[in-house]
Amino acid sequence: MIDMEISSEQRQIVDSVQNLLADALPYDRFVPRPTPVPNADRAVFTQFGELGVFGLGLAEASGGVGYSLVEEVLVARECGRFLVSPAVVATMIGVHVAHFAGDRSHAEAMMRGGTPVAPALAFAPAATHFAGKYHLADAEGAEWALLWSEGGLALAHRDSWHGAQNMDSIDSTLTLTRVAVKDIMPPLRVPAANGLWRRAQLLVSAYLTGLAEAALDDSVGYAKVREQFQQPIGAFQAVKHRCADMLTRASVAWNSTIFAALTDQAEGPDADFQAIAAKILASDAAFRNAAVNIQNHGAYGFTGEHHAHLFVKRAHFLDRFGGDATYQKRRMLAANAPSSDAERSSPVDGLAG
Amino acid sequence: MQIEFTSEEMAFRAEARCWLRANVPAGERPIHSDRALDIREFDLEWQRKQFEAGWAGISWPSEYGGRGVSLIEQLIWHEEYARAGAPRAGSCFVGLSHAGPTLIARGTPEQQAFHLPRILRGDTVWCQGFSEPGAGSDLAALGTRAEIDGDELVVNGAKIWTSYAAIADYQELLCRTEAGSRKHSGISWVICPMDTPGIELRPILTMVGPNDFHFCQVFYNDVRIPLANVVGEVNDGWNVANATLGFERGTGFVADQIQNSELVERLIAMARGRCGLDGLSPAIDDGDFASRLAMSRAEMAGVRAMTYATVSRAANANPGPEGSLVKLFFSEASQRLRRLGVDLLGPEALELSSDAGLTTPYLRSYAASIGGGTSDVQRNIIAERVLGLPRAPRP
Ligand SMILES: Cc1cc2nc3c(=O)[nH]c(=O)nc-3n(C[C@H](O)[C@H](O)[C@H](O)COP(=O)(O)OP(=O)(O)OC[C@H]3O[C@@H](n4cnc5c(N)ncnc54)[C@H](O)[C@@H]3O)c2cc1C
Repeated sequence: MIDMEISSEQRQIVDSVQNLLADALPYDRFVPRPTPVPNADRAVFTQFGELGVFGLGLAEASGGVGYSLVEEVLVARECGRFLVSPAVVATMIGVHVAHFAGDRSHAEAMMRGGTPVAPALAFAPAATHFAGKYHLADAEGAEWALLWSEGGLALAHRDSWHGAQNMDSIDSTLTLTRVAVKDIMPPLRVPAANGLWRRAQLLVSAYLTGLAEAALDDSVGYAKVREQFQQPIGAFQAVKHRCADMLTRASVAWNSTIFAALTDQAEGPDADFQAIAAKILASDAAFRNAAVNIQNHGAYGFTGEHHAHLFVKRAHFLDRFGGDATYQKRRMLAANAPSSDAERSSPVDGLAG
Repeated sequence: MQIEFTSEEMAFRAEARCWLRANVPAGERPIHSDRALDIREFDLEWQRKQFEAGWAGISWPSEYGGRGVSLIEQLIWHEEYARAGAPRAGSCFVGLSHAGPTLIARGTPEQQAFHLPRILRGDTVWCQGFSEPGAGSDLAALGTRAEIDGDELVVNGAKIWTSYAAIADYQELLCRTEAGSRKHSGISWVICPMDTPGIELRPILTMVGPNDFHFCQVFYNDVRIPLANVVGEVNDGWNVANATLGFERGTGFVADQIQNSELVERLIAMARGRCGLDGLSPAIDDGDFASRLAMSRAEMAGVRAMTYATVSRAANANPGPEGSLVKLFFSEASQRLRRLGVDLLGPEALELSSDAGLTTPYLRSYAASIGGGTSDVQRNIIAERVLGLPRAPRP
């Protein structure tokens, strides 16, 4: 059976997250007063924890909510839409890393939202171990960093961040810290073979998709109300067609991400392939929609008063998390193509049976 | 047809190169921040230096104090200017390339005698008050009012996106002097001293950085300006504003173009020198980077050829709407190039002030397809005025 529709139960999860975000983290938290400041999103992490955001995909027996990757993907997408600190995604993944590494108490603390995890963007994502240079995003107040390389995923406690150096961030709402990690193999880690990296990759893709979708919503909203030459600019074919292209890209990104998540759930042999394709498409959609959204807003879109620029800047961060587009494209060619003989012989039913 | 420089032009190039190499300011141009005065002083100081050596107003006729050189020599000057790494005109741009030429074309002898030397000498900064919250692409929809009261204008309304308004002495202000007039008629071009009572500024942050207050919203509350400050006829401002649009006839952005050509070469060198993803082979071995670098190199060569063609046409005839072709192609090609720069830089691109200095100009490049008429507007001009395609229906 193929069902890529959101169920009513999943809709409820999305709605409750949307309600919390709309209430606690509206875009106007980014209005410069008079200059922008780093975000304070981690203040609502415990509320996320209470809502079950961080343990969503972990089995109930392990202290989680008992849903799957698909529900996590739905939530990560909303976080992208609301430009929530990407530490939310790293924390969602961090819970799984701690769990697989057998550290139940740290996994539980992360699920409660009390110990945020900062995404660590590797300078050399192709390394097969974890030692090396990283950029941490939003590390202030974080307890852990989520390291990601071809070796898999690992958690580095803040005590193990060496030579931390705060840099001027391209995104003033997101602090940027350079650190070095010396552990080749930190104790809390999950090897790549485990496949957890796919879950991480799809949460990142979902966040990127959320950026692309929010940029689209902004553009469509503005194109209906902004008037030039006595008509809404959305009446001009140039603007209208750009919006149509934005939806097309966002839709490709979303469907690829959810398709990859379902393939992963079904333990399809092409799970790697799909996870790589999803990241490439989501990243492309985020970058291009973000740029077009600025263009559609004219000079207003170029200001620091509108949040349009943050879609571009967040795309740069998330693109690097787990390896940027150049790296993903190389992996795309190296991955095995989905074989046609498997023909998806009802893997879901197979699993159930 | 030929592309060869005369011996006089080559001598001019040598002279320009020699002076520029020796005199280009050493320090970085400060960014436009809360310490806005730094940037004003920096730009004016550089203008004064050029003035003292006789290079100010390269495109201005000599009877108005300019250098009065030919179009080809202007082109050469801008090329050498960029190659020497000279700072952009910045806050002096509007005075030198727009307000000054407008006064030359349409100003009274008194207006010319007062303002032109001050612009050239590096005494005054001008800004451009054209766009309004409701009038961007549709500039003729502007609604800032100016009522004539005796020998004064009384201005009320608001402008927006006025670059360098916070450090400018004068503004070229377009306002509606005939109540209820339609569109292009009833507008006047006014010299507005920025210290006139009733003017208030609201600095606006750009997306470039946390201190980049590049432009302002400008509010006018019963601002009284002498009627003698109107340039050209009252109600003829639309024509006055357009009188100088082709003043430099294609040479105005040559320095930016050359800078981008040099950037391509720098990025190629960087891609040869830096290791790519595997940490072993240089980034240029990556097929995608190699292809984008090659394309950017070709595109910048194309931009230069377009500019030469524009200048050659302009030497014989008034420039037409063809300038939009260069603007459209250049702004989008430079955006691709700037993006390539940060992609090549990799992790450090997230650092706003990395040593490579590629991130800030990358962010700034988002404005290239908006400021000075958006790419959509350029396409409309090309389609309707160059190609003669039917105009879109207007309500
Ligand atoms: C960095 C920067 C500096 C600037 N400095 C100055 C300055 O010093 N002085 C000054 O006066 N102005 C300045 N401007 C303003 C600039 O001239 C305007 O931004 C520009 O004209 C576009 O107007 P707008 O921003 O209102 O966008 P809008 O006109 O609202 O455009 C919004 C979107 O609609 C599209 N659109 C509008 N009309 C059409 C159409 N007919 N067909 C198809 N698409 C259309 C546009 O292309 C754009 O994508 C500056 C702008 C920038 C970005």
